[in-house]
Amino acid sequence: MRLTNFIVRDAIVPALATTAADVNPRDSAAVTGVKERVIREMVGGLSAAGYFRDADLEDITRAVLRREQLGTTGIGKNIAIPHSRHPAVDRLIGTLALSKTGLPFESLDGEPVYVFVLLVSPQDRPGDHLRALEAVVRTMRNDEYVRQLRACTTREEIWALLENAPGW
Amino acid sequence: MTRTLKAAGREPYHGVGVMTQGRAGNGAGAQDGADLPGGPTGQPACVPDPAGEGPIRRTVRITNPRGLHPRIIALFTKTAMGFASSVTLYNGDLQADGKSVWDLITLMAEQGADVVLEVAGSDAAAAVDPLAEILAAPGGEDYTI
Repeated sequence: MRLTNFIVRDAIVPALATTAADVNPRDSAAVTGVKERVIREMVGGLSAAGYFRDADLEDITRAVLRREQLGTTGIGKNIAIPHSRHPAVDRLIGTLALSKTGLPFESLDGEPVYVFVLLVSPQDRPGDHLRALEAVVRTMRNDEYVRQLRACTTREEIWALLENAPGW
Repeated sequence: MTRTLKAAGREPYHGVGVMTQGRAGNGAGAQDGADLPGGPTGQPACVPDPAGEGPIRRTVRITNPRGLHPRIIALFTKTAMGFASSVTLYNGDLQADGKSVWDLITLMAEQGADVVLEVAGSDAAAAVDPLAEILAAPGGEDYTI
């Protein structure tokens, strides 16, 4: 599976509005607030792109947040993969967002997150979900690729890089 | 990252998640534990290597409906890092470092997959049971999110 198979081009967020300059990474409540703002921005991008009804926006955001509360999806190396299942989608969809400043996300390595890939998948497609996670990890373990991704400033630049992701 | 798994390809045992176990000989390849004597729980007993060397291998069926998903992976790696032994998981011809979240995500082990757990080191005998239990657990989690 390739990232372009499930990432929605029109939902990509080249520069998250969320910042955390005044947030103590050890302040769990404050970090939870950062997570909520990031996830809301990203789910909002998918909604704006027309991938589910506005009525589902809040519920999907809450579902991703609930999953995040069960254990961080900040897997280290400045990457996070917030995700959830939800009946509002009939196929796996996702979006990518960049933070220019880095955001606290309770990552496994304690480092801030600069690249977020959010996944929303149907309830009955666990295999697709695992394959999408694998595609993200396989791509993002290339440090040079991530460096180039983080340097992107437009949706078009990001999409072009996703289309030419290494490993295929 | 990938290699052919000589230990795989065995016929799965149905009914329990943890299926076979045993220590491999030194460089002699994986031992299929199916012919090992049964322990008190009815599962094959762990057979210690007299020399205390060589990895312990156990085949475990993934029963979680979500497969080997990130929450299980996080618990598995955290537990694995509590042991000095090296921990390796195999799914078919895919191989992953059991102490690396990044590696384990690439295993893509879905429900029903028979993964091989390989633990090698001084505390391998103590590590293999808790690690196998994490892999074999059906979950009991909220499958709606």
